[in-house]
Amino acid sequence: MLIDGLQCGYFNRDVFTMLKEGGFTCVTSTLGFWEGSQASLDAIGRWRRMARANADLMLIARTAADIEHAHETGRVAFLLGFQNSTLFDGRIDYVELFADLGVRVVQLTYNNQNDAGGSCYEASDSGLARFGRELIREMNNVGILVDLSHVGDRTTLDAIEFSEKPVAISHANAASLFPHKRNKSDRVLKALAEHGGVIGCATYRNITPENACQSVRGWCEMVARTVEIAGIDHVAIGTDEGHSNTQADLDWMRSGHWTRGVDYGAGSAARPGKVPKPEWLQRTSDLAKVRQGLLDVGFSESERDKILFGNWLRVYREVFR
Amino acid sequence: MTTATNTALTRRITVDALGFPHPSREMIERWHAGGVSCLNTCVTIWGTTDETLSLIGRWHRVATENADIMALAKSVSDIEKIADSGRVALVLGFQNTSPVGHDIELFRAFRALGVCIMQLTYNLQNHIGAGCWEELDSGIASQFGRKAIAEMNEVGILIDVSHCGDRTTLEAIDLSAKPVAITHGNPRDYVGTSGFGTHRLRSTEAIKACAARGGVIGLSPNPHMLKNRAETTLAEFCDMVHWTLDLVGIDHVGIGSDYCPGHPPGTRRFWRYGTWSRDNISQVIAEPGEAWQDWMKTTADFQVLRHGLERSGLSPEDTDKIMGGNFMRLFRETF
Repeated sequence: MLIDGLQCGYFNRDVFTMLKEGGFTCVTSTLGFWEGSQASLDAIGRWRRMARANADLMLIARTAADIEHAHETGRVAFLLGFQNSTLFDGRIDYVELFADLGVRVVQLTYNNQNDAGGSCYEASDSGLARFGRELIREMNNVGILVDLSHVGDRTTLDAIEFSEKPVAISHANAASLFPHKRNKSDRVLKALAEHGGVIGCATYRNITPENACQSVRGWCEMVARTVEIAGIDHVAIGTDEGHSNTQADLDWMRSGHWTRGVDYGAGSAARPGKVPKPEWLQRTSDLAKVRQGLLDVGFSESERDKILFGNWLRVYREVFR
Repeated sequence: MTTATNTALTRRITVDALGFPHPSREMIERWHAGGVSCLNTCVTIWGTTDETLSLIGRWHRVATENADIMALAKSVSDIEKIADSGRVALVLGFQNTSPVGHDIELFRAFRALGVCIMQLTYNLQNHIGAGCWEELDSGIASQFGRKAIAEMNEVGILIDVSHCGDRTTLEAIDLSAKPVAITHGNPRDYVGTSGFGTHRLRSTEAIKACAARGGVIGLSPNPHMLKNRAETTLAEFCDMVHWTLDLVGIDHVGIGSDYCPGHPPGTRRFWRYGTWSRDNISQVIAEPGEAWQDWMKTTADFQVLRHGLERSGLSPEDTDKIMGGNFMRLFRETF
């Protein structure tokens, strides 16, 4: 099995085929960044249409058992995910409704502050706001995994403490290995682990150490360092791979409707546009290389399997209903 | 019209800096009967963009169908013309930026539809800042919050901080290039606590900062924000006005009734708990209804405030400023 805690971009039959051939068991897709409830419903509708048209290759999973069923029938399971809580439009009742529609992973905030809490690019992080607490309680109740990847450090710590279910940092790296606002401090990673959560190590070049982009061994060594911080039961994979994203898509992700100016997101003025994929991961299906790579840097087979899929499956079992 | 007559007219205009009537003739009749010639008419608190467009549409229809007593105003000269004709000028406003969400272009779009006043937050946090019911307030958000304030300054929307958190209030006043309003909020250091929690009342620091930058504080006869609630006398209300005048002077105090009549049962609960919580929130000590004090049962009694202020020793000219002149000056500087 191989589980990727986050991908984004355009999904279609070619991508499903490629992911199946690459040995992926389960992928969390991104259905929205800034969208409200209506556009989010559209995105869910599109995924359902795709699932019907490609039922031989994939399915939309609601439980860990669905993921195992996909594996047994040789298909890729997809978890419907959103990178912002704007899909709820501030309405607590919508949490259950979207869960009923199959949404399983929702990030509290995306880059900017919202009604739930602070975010990674804000000059100061508000911490978990009142609606944020309400949201987490409700997401715990209805079985949606709380994702804290783009969330500010203070809000992240508050959310880890507040949630009664394990939470995820689905796609980020350790800031002590690569300092970046998107990456997470050791304090956050230790708190995450103490509360049973999981971090998905990313391959996105803007937030990944250069040597981890150069070779699969370098990336697996980064994973080993992350395991030293968070422990073997709390580290997994969340590549942040994007399929066929254009500059226009990048602009939407970063600038949304909230600014008329240029926002570089995880990039910078020196590196404003799309960044090259890691040398060892030119195609997403190349991720299969980490099966051997993790063994080569010293993990046992059972440790490797936790990173590849076991840790995610444990969290999914604890959270999904 | 010359500037002199303009100013004289402005002085006679009675402004209610915040009311939230259900959109109907019957409700606006209460302001009309009270001699209010300009009302900051709250359109929505939690509305999304499309819900709010629908409500604005409804206000346009109500105003058109009842043009004998009201009209929508999109500018200070509109207000003056409508007031001069003996009608109520409705200035549309929001008590939250939920209709804008995080879309920078929507400030200009709503301004074009006549929305001239927006409160940044309503009790809770949003993309711009924090509300007065949040335990944590990190001020105006550096990403969207600062851009939103600059945009509201640019397109001519008056920023209202009545329900904002303390830090968000101070930072908004500081960051805004134009004066900012507290359309409806009473002084915390005078009143103590309110039926909406202590932090719903405005700090002395905020009141002073608001005035120092040219803003106006709308004091409210809403009993839930008065020291002795519905037992408060008119003289005691006027004492609160004088307390505030001592703090900031005659040019920075106005009236915002916070009178919100005509809504279906359960609406008040919706405003407070919105759609954001499943719990009963302890913040609201009682469920405030519409039972106002004997000396001001509705805004039809609005002019009782004028009489009370004059009886308390204010000159007719100073009373005019409080009853509307100060807010008209602020509208002129910001719309």
